[in-house]
Amino acid sequence: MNMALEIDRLAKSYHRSGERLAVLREVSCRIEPGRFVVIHGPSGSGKSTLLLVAGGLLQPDNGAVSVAGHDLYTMSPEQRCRFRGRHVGFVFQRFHLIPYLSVLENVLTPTLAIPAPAARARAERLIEKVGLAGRIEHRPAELSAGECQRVALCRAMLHNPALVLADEPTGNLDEHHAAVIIAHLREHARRGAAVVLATHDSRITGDASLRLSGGRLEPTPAAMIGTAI
Amino acid sequence: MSLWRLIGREMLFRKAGFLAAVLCVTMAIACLVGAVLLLRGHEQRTEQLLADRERQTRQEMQAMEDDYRLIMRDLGYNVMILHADQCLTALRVQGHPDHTMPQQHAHDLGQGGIETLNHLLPVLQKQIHWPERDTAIILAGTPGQVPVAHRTQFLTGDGSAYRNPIRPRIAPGTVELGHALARQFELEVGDELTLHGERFTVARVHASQGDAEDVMLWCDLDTAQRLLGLPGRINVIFALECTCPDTGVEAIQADVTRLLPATQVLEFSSRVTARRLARQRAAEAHQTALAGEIEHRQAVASERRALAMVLVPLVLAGSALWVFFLVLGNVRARQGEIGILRAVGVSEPRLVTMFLVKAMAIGAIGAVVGYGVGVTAAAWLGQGGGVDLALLGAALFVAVTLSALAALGPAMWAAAVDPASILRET
Repeated sequence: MNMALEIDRLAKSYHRSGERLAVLREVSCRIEPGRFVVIHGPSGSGKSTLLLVAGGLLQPDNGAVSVAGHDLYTMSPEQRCRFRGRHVGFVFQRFHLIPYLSVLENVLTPTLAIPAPAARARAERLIEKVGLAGRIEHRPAELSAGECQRVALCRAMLHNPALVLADEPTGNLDEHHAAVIIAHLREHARRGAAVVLATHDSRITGDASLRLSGGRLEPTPAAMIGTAI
Repeated sequence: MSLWRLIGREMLFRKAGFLAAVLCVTMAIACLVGAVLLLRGHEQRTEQLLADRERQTRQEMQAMEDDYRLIMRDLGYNVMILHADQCLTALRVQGHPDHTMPQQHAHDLGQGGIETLNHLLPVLQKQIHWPERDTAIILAGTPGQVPVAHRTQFLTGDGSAYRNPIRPRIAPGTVELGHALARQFELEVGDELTLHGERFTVARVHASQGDAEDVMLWCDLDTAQRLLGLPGRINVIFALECTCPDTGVEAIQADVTRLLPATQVLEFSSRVTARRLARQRAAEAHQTALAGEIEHRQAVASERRALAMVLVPLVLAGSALWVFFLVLGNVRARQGEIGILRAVGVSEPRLVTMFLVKAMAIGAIGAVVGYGVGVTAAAWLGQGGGVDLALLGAALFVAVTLSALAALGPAMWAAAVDPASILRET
């Protein structure tokens, strides 16, 4: 069986003010489809970097990343871009909704890259499912933070991706809305996708919990369905 | 969700920036269109003005031609066609030629298509003794003017005679007297006289000319030929030089000898020659003034064109720079949007297309509005005209191309931006 996400000896460092800052050192892990994995770590520990590299948005210095059995960094940038649009969904702390588009149009933005005939119907179903059916024509400025994040969640799930990467998706939300978002992500994982959630909030747990510390991924005492090797 | 919808929504959302860019292109295209229309209008006005001047000159010259024709006609004949062997000294001394030629010569000239002469008057002149008055006179006989057949504008309907001849025909049985002769014998119009036994009525007394004309007795040609014993002969053909531009004695000589080889031409009126020269001078002055006007207007047009050649590219370049900075600002303002679009799989070429299409839309709208503004401004400045589709097409091409080129750099930059750094930072 293909792993939903397989990371092998991943290394990534940044150069700032002439200094090399190693953010990820020899990170490896495998995540099966249908798993909800939480990566814990303090701010600046490299969680976002790990998700960006895992989603094919940031070239690593070393190591390999495979999503659903496809090695992302052996693809051309154009192929990787299309693959990402089809198989990877992103959710960010700041939502990154497009301010001049309605809720429905924001959810449909992935179709700019990957057109899908039934996308509109699916988008409407997703919006309804997250409880925003009445706000479908509203713009982001007219929504609360929790509603915006639900829109971002729908956008990430439009093409039913094999892998959803959520970077601090609850960072700007109150407890109630955070719980709603986590519930939707769990639900998506139950439907067969792998969900990787990075957070500094230790109260959030998944099928597996990993800790990123000192640029290395370490397993926590929780269940090891997601495996740090 | 289409790219066009996204572009349209974004333009509506960021109206101020969009309108600023459109305004910028509008101004540039208005300048371009206005400059083209003003230059074109100036050239058309120049052409019109010069055409008017030329028409006016032609009319004035035509009027002058008519005036001179009448003046010359009133001055009388100014050319004599004589036998080739006629001695001019003898002519001066005697006051009349002594070599004769066939009367048919006049008709040959009239029918032969002579171009340089008009109003042909064959005459037979000879000094004789007037026995009844015991005095010497010059007897002159003429049949009246012989028509130049192709000058139908001066002839009667049947072409047989001139409508307004310089010298009217002398009826048989009548005579015309020179001024000195009439005064000497106290003869007046209506008096009768006898010449070589034949009776004549005085039909006209000529005004004083101060030359041999004053002692001439004019009668019809048949009578003169009979009295002088020279039937079918004449010794001079008087004529009036035509007012054509290149007429001169050499041209007349060539024209006449082409038809009558055994003749010579004498131009004898210096006043007429002077007036012909004056007329030529006037025509030359008109032409010089016209050429000066053309040169002046060409110089003005050239200056305007040179100014436009500097100003219009400057305005277009300024506009392109403005569009460049506006698109650059737009790219900066949309960093988060660019990041998420890259995250959801939008490719670099598609991002470039997104910014270029927007810039081209700005160019197209600016071109149409700018064309309207340019045409209106030109009309307000008196250079009106209908819709020029070619100019509108050119304005569209320039504006769209310029906007696209100006936006290309920022669009490429937008596509090259690392989405990870954007998504991490924002």
